[in-house]
Amino acid sequence: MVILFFRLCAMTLTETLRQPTYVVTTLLFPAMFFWFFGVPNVKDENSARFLMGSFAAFGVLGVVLFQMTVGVAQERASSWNVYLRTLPVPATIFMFTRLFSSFFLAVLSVGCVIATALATTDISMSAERWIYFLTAVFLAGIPFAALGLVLGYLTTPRSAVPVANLIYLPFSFAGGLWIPPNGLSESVRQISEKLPTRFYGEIVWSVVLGQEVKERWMWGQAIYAVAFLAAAIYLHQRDETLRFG
Amino acid sequence: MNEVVAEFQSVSKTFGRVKAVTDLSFQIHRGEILGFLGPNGAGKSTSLNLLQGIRHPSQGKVSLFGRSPQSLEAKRKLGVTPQDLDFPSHLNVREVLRMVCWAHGRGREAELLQRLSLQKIAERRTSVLSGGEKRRLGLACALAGAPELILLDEPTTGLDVESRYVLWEVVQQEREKGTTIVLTTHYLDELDKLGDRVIVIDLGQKLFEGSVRQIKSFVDFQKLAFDLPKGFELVGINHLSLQRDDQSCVLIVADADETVRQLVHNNVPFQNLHVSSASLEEAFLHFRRRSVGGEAATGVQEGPTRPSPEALMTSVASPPPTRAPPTQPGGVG
Repeated sequence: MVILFFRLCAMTLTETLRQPTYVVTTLLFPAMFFWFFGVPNVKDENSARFLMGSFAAFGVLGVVLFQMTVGVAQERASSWNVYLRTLPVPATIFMFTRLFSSFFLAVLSVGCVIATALATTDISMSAERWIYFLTAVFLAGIPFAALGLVLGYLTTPRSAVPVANLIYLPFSFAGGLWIPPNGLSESVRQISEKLPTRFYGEIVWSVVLGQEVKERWMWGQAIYAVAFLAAAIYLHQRDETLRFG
Repeated sequence: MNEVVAEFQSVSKTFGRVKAVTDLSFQIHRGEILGFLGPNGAGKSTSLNLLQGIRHPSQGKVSLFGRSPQSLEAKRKLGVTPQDLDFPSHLNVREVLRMVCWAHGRGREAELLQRLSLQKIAERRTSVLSGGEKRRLGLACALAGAPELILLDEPTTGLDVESRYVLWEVVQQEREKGTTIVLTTHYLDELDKLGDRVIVIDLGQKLFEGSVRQIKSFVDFQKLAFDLPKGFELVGINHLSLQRDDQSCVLIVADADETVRQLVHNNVPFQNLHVSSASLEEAFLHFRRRSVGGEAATGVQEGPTRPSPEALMTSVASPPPTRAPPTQPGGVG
């Protein structure tokens, strides 16, 4: 079953990476944005770390949100997905395949941002700091995978991309992932402090700058993770009953 | 042949207030080819979905190889070709087939590509396949696990001649190997050649269960096709079903001689009369269309001998022994 799981993951990744639009917009855009808009604002190593953290978080957010939202919405409308249920493998294996593939693509996206940072700035961190950074950027991104599931169960294949964009772009901006929170207007800053993207950014920035991660950021993100996961489980069960009950 | 591989026991399935299947009971025996017949919306696909374990019955029990259809053990012996299957569009034929073979724990995609004449298009993306190529790939996927039971949901609908030939050749080969095959089709002539047994369902209920020969002997209708002047109103002609366009008319009748006499007697200016036996498909579909009121009022008299579909199927379900004795065990239901 483990071999089958990794084979299916490889097939899912092959399928995804054959879509140039997806590769460019989701995997390369964070690195390109970092290069175009982040690098010119790098003044010292701390600002390089901060901006790299922001755009890495932006990359993870985009990958998991789109992979989950669009992937689940398409699967729900796909006869292939129904067909897979006639095969002698547990249906959950396909869900885990999607999760693992999203994680792998998120690694690629973050890798592109890091490569750009290493190539264009004087960023330098200890191996330990890199490990903390990567752990934070992936772990704190979990709520967005759950949010993607929620949106995937609430949208159709046609509406999934616009809806994901409606969340992705405003949340990224208001969360301070494009421009630092102190550059936001007062009204946006007030909203920002309650957004999961802001909690996400604060955790990643704290880790990458070697500062203490405040508990309220972690609790905020944990609460979002639990809430989104609970909603995703409820919607998943409702969808299962409707389609396969 | 008598070993039961699958069974429906008083199965009902409702979707909200809609009864898709009502109190359906039947058995599928090892090695047979069983045809599921019925108009669109009759409950054929719902029945197949219950058999595949995709749906759960609201009442009753479905068993597949003595187990729940959801069990992996049962699924290992099952091969399925859905009616409409949209393959992952960015994968090619070989990759799709390989993935299904992996799921069955078998590496036989090369053999299946050859068997289903798919080698030449093995590297082609599924998004550019023709309808026939998709159906052949669907059948290859159904065969991936060397199944003991294959479910084919309208496998030849919209197929080109070559694909249909390949498909029926494979079905024939599988039959010779002893594989059980259940299929739904609108092409009853195909069942006539290959099918052992037929179950007719409509509105979710079983109307008939028996051999193809049996059902044909009870639906022994004739087809009269002729040309008529445009706008001519056909009145006073007994018929079971009528299809009419601007200048031609097709009647399904119980007695062609009597109908021709009526046409002459009523001075109907018909031309190019052609009389033939109605196929089972024509008879059934014409009957069905008539029963749901799909025809516009034509002013044509319904024949005094015209039975209702229910009456027809009741008579079919309880045949007089002198006409066509059952040939299958439990063949009359």
